[in-house]
Amino acid sequence: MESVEYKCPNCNADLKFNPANQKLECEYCLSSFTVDEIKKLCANTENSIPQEAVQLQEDFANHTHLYRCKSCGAEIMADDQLTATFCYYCHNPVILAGKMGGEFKPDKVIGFKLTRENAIDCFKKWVGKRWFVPKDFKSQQQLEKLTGLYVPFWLADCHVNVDVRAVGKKLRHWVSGNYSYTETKEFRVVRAGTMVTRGIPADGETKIEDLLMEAIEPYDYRELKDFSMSYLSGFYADKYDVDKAAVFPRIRVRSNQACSALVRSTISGYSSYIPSNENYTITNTDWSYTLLPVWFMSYKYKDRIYEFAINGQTGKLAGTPPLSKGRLGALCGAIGMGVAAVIMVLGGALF
Amino acid sequence: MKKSSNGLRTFLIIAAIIAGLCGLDYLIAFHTGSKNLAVGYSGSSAASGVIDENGIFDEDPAALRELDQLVKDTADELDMNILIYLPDESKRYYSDDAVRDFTANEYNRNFGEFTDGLLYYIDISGKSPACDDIAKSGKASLIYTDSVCQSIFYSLDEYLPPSSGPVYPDQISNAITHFCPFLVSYYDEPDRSEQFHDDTADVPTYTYTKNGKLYITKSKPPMKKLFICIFAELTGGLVALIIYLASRSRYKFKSKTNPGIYLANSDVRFTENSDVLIRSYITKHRIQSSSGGGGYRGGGGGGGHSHGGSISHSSHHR
Repeated sequence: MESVEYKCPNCNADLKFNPANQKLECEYCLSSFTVDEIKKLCANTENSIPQEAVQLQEDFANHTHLYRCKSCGAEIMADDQLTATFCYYCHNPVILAGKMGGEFKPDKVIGFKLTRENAIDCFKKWVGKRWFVPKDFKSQQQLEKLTGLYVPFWLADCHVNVDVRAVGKKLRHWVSGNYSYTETKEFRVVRAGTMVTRGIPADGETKIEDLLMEAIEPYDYRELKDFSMSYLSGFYADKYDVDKAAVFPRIRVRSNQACSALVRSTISGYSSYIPSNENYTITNTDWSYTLLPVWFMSYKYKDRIYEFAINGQTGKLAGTPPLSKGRLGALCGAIGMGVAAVIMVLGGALF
Repeated sequence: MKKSSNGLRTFLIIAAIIAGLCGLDYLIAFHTGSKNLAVGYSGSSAASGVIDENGIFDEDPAALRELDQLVKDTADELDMNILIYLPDESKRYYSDDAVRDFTANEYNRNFGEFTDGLLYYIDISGKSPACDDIAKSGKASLIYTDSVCQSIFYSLDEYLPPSSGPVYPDQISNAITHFCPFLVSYYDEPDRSEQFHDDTADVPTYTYTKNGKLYITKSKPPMKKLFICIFAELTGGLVALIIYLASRSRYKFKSKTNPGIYLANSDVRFTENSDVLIRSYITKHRIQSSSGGGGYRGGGGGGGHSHGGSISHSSHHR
């Protein structure tokens, strides 16, 4: 399997994608190129298998592959999911182009807009509000683990047939003389038609928690671009290992939730609402295989792995902060003792 | 295995904290406190007796001596000072508070602060309504509680003269000769749970017994301290627990994106969107009338007065 590196047309150094200006930049001669420019310059590289690429060993340990870095010649080991990485020795970005072929070639991509510094700022802001995380969770060493990763997503446009029938009741009360009156009006409520939910994402990777990815949504799809490997330069990238069929149940649930919420929002003014029939049938789904940018970090604390993700486009952060129960317990204990001491003093137990 | 050892560790920590708090409570309740001010009974009934300021027994000093001896004998029997005070007309304009202030100070002047004993003030000053008062000090405060004193007052009402009427020596003599046996009959060793707090004294004090011994201290009784400690620790523990749980809830995974953002209004086509009235009906219920009234009870409070020692009062209007 081949590896591809984007070289500067001027000095032949490696190019890295800069999220800030959405260009590929050379750190040595300070040249910069748009994705389209590089596409043209490296057309041969993207569309054909480089002759000089040498695969040293195939299917090492079943799912491990070795690649040779074209800059320093070092061997790079990657699992069968990884499609973009860095050379361990010279730290140059390496794109494992052979893995992006055929069915694994994404249709679309959203490039990173958030730089590493932006992502660190987001993380610091988020973690700053949490006093009881372990001390080393905020350390520089931990921040170094923040990794820019293109996560494979399936985006689904679902065409839904909606058929909702219900009975709604409106009540009106009044009092006259010694009697209380209640007027009940019953309505037959019907909502039928078609709806299209667009771009519901489902990550196609088993390694990443689905809920974590759902929590950093949404992405702004107006910035979707046709896929080019040049976007991956300087970041990690994975290919999917969960296919469309496997993610469809998740997509269906979310699509139904969206339709159901919209239908409910059109039914108002009733004291009670009893549905007799609620059908949301997906008749057709259009799929798009897309790479979406995520800044990713994991932290191991007391035998548990805590994962954090930052939307590489919007900066929305999600994750479960680790709780140092000892620190929280100590503070709560101190407050409890303070309260007890105040009550004892005011109650006169000490004097 | 690791989970069970963690559970054991938590259990041991909690047990250690509870044991520590129990020890702390014990120390605070039983080993912190001001010194015992109780003086007790001197053993001499010389100062006990009857003070006839009004001169009721001027014409029959033998009767006064007899009554005086009866009071001294009762004092010796009960191991406490007893003084019966018959005020003159100069005290007719005393308010109830002034009476109580006077009896407290008079007791202290005759027997000293924090001694065991009582002073019975039979109001024959001409004040209307007459305000009889029993000022109690030391163990008398615990033995002759207010309910006991009220029983004595009601029993003596039949012997004492009305507040505005003339006062005869026989009436007073009868009252005193019945009063002393009442004191003896109601005498009982103070209950452990009995305690008295004098917050009107110059220095507020607590009177209570511990291990059969009478204590008068400026600090609270041990059991009261223990109760406050336990209450304080439970409250502190509850506050700590609430803060812990509230803080911990912020460390859970949250924020699930609403899928509604993937459905735009422009992608919604209703072929049928109707709300059709299918039926309407009216029900009526008779209103059950109910009425209730509220009562009002009011109570009065006593005025403040100050004195030395630790004196409790039971007063009664005739």
